[in-house]
Amino acid sequence: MTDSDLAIKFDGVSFAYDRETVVDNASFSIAHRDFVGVIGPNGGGKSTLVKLMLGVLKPQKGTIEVLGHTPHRACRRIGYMPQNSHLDPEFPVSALDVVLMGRLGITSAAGPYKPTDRQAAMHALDEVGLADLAHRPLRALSGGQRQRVLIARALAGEPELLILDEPTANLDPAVQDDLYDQLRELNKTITVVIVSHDVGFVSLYFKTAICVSRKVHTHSTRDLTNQQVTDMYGREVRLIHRDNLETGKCCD
Amino acid sequence: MIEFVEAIGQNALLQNALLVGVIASVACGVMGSYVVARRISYIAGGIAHCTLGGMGIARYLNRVVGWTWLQPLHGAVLAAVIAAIIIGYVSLRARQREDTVISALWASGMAIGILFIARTPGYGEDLMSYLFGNILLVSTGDLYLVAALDVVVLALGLIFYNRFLAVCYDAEFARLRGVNVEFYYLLLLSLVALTVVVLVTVVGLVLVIALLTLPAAIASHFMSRLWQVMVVAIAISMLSTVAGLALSYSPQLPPGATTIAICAGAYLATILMKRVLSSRRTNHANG
Repeated sequence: MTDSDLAIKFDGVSFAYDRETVVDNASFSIAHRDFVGVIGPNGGGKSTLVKLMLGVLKPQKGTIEVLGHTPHRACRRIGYMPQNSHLDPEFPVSALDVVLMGRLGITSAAGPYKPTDRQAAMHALDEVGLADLAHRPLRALSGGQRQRVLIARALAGEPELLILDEPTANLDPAVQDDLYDQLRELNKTITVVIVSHDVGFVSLYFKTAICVSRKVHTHSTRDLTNQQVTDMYGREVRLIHRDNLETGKCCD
Repeated sequence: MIEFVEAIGQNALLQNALLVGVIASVACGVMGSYVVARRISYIAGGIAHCTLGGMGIARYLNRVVGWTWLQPLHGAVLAAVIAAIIIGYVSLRARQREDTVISALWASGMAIGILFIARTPGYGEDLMSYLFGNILLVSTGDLYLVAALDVVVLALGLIFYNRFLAVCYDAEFARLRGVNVEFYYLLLLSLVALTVVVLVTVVGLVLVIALLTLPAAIASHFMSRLWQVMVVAIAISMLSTVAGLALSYSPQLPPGATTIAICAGAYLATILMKRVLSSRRTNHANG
């Protein structure tokens, strides 16, 4: 595999807040059209790793390449969905207003959005099943619907790489499954990276798992064992493997 | 009231006052909506109070040093924009001590103003008019300045509407889309600063924050998109300033304070009405 086939490449990357090392000498690469789950315990550095990919944080050591460039240069080609928690749910915007924000960086530098922006935003809302609610005020939507609005915003910029931070946090199990199915559909053309605390389902949907707890390891989800995950979390955690689920076996 | 309507025809100062009130309401509704949506009325308050420093220095230079071309309002424009950029920079950088630093700047700006005013002859009446407004003494020169500021605020506030909206809602995301968040945030605060100067002529700097935020706060109870909030806030602001002038005229009350009392009353009525409506709705649902 040559470097041009890689969506993300970390080479000896270390990052510390003050003196506390959060990411320690991480080297890994993610191929185009991979479906990646970033898993690990709380405070283990999952969100830090994502912020390094986006260029929001700069590593103290090592180099990061995203889509063949520095994260700063690549960030407009990334669709990013942050955790919902820091956003004001009472902010006076409609669902479509929020999704249109994903067109910044593509649309003109000033003045109103263009018709092509509106089409792309409506298409993105349609992809997450919210086209009917485009003109609804954000504050009239449920937590799960707001989450999907943010996913649509990430999609509206027609990204080559989609990074979602805990996209299933506020969703019902049935909606979660729908969302993962939609993401698998998108994954046919773009790379998808998802931060998840939901270890159980990792091996069900993802092709690759990035396990983060200060040290960073990548595994093919087929090879990931219960023991590796248990070691990382410091307590027993069970994986569900798709093969086992399909054949009705439990994994042990 | 009849006396007020008759006076409009004859009294040029009253005509100026009405015009300033109506013009100022436009900037007030647009920028007040950004301030309320982004929840930065505390920052706007800091900027407003720093204008006293600029007005005090300008008036000192005018009266004592003899720079007769320099009006207090010019000093207010300069001080407001400088304060906006300093306070904006502080709020972008010093996240943990933001409130402390803004409080200190807030009071320091006023202190500078009071010191310069104390060293200038004619202390009392000018200080009162800066603090509580003198809409009935607005000169034609002031009127032109207010109109010019209004045009600048309105033009930039609308041209960069999408940018400002994105920066106010989710600055981190906007930055990842290549938007220069620092630039737009400081520009937004500078426009808030110019709006504050416009409103200082109407109600004075002590009452400015109420006129900036209450119409937008009322409007956001009824409207759910920012531009709709702006339109309704402009209308409420116009009604309040005109009603403030009309109701204060015959009994010779201070028009600035009357305007704010009307705004505050409308805000209170809005909240009470919402309460009654929502409790009725739950009663319906339960019954």
